[in-house]
Amino acid sequence: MIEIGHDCTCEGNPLVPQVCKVIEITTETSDVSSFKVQTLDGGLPFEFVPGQLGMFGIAPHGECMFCVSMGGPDWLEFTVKRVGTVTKRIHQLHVGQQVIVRGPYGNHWPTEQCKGRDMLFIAGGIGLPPVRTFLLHCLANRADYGRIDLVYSASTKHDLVFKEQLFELWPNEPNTHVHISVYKDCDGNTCTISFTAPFLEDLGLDVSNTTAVLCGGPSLYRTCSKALANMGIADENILTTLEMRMKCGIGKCGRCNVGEKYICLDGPVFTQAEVNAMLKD
Amino acid sequence: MILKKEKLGSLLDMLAGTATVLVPTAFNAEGGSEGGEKATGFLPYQAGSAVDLGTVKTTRSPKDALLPQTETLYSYEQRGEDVTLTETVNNTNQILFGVRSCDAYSIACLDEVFLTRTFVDTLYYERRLGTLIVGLGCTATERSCFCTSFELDPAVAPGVDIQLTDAGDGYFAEALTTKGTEALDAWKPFLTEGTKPTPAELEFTFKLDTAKLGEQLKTMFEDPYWQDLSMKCLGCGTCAFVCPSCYCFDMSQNNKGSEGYRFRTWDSCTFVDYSMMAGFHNPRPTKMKRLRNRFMHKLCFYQERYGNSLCCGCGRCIELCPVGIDISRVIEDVERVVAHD
Repeated sequence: MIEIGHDCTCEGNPLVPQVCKVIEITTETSDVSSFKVQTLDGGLPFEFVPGQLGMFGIAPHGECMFCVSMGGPDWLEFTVKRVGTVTKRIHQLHVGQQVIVRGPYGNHWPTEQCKGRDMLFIAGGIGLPPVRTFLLHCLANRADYGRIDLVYSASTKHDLVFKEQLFELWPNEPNTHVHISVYKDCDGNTCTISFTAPFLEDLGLDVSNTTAVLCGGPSLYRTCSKALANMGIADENILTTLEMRMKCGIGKCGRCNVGEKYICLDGPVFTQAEVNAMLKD
Repeated sequence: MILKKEKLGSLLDMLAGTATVLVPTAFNAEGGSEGGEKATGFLPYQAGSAVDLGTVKTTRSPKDALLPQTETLYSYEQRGEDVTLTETVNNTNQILFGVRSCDAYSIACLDEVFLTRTFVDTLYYERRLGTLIVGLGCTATERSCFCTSFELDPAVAPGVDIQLTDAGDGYFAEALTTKGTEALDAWKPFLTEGTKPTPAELEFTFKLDTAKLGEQLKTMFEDPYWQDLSMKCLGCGTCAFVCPSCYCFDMSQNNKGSEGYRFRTWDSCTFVDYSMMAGFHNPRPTKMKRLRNRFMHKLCFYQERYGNSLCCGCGRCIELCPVGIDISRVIEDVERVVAHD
């Protein structure tokens, strides 16, 4: 038997969650809501670094992996889109109900290495919550980062999440530019109808000092990573967070592999250079 | 020290009083050992068990002993708004008796997965700590055996606590770990003096060159070979279930009224819903992609991560695949496909 390295980052059985309670529910869109959770004695479920993942669910119905979308001194927030069986149940939760939470899992955004750089955040639809964790970190430590651009798109204006922050808070932050577009159904005032990728080149960025942070659906990812490369942003300076089916969250159950990497353990954050080197199905 | 074969029964009787002794045993569909179609597996020893140390590879591998096919992780109960969880308590005390090199190598692979790389899997760890492994050197091979292709020594099982070597009318027993030395002390009344026999020279049907396999597989990731290979795959999962080193598991739950439990079960990467996400998005939607991932994991990805192959060459999947997909043929084909590219 090999020497066991007791480098387990959590106490006890890593597959057993802790019981927490829902303390606040925010409806973001018709199928996206944010759930603030804390331990039964009013504490923080676990410490996390922006970009890390957490398992969130309901004991009789199962659990799913989400990027922790925000954290306070004594709560964590998960922003959940209603897509499948478990997320449908999560959307039926009410404040006070007990849920199961475990984590943190995976790596995180390289916030330290990006200090001093201009940040270009690109998100599509439900891709904003993971990107927002990094954005919020930059805004909280505003002096550490240069110009900030957020380019966010969704199918329709109804599908934009975090509307209050998008339209009221972030545009008023210093040296911060928020660009919002939708693909259809626009009221003409709040956003424009546009695809994201061609728009990026017109932002007038100092590409040598820009780090791009990208999260969205496959088409947004494909077109934007191509556009960023055309603009001359090096693959090492394009960050993304990958998505795969996960069950254990600790690199054992096997299913979230892309090549030899496990997204739950080695990811979810990768540079474009790392993604390029992967053997992708 | 030699364990005479006529003393084997009394040794197992003694050991069964101290721990659950899992030993290769023949069994039929009715659970007995007389008549009918027989299979072999590591079953708990009891007086009168049809112990079968002669079979080179058991139908079922000893994987169940450390990673049960189904295992409860925790149970829960809901009373009003209150949810309480109860963790599974694991008091494993077992002896795996008669483990061949291929299966012992596979256990070493499971150890790497479940005990290293940031997280330690608690239930596996507890089972593993409570398990003594007694290896048994091979004196014969079967047609599908090819462990030497992965540089395994069929005479010495890697990582076992006690190694047995066939010495004609007995087994030469030597301790290979501290745990094994302590355990062997208790065997003394059943042992007689003797010297270690030279392990039998074994003849294998084939031996494959696997030195560059991982690198070669990477270069043929996009080759139409995988499409051809997967045409007949049924996606039944037999290969993963009979494999001693396949460790992927699924997690799910069972509810009854206000109670339930969350459990894990063996899974197979050839199943359609293995990587299926919410909203039915599937990163491996075709049989080709799933089967390719299986062979890449076995022969390339695992090696990239842990340094050795996840195939031990036991040949169980070759024998039991209902449509004859043969991992040794795949390894042979790699050379040809890469050369052709």
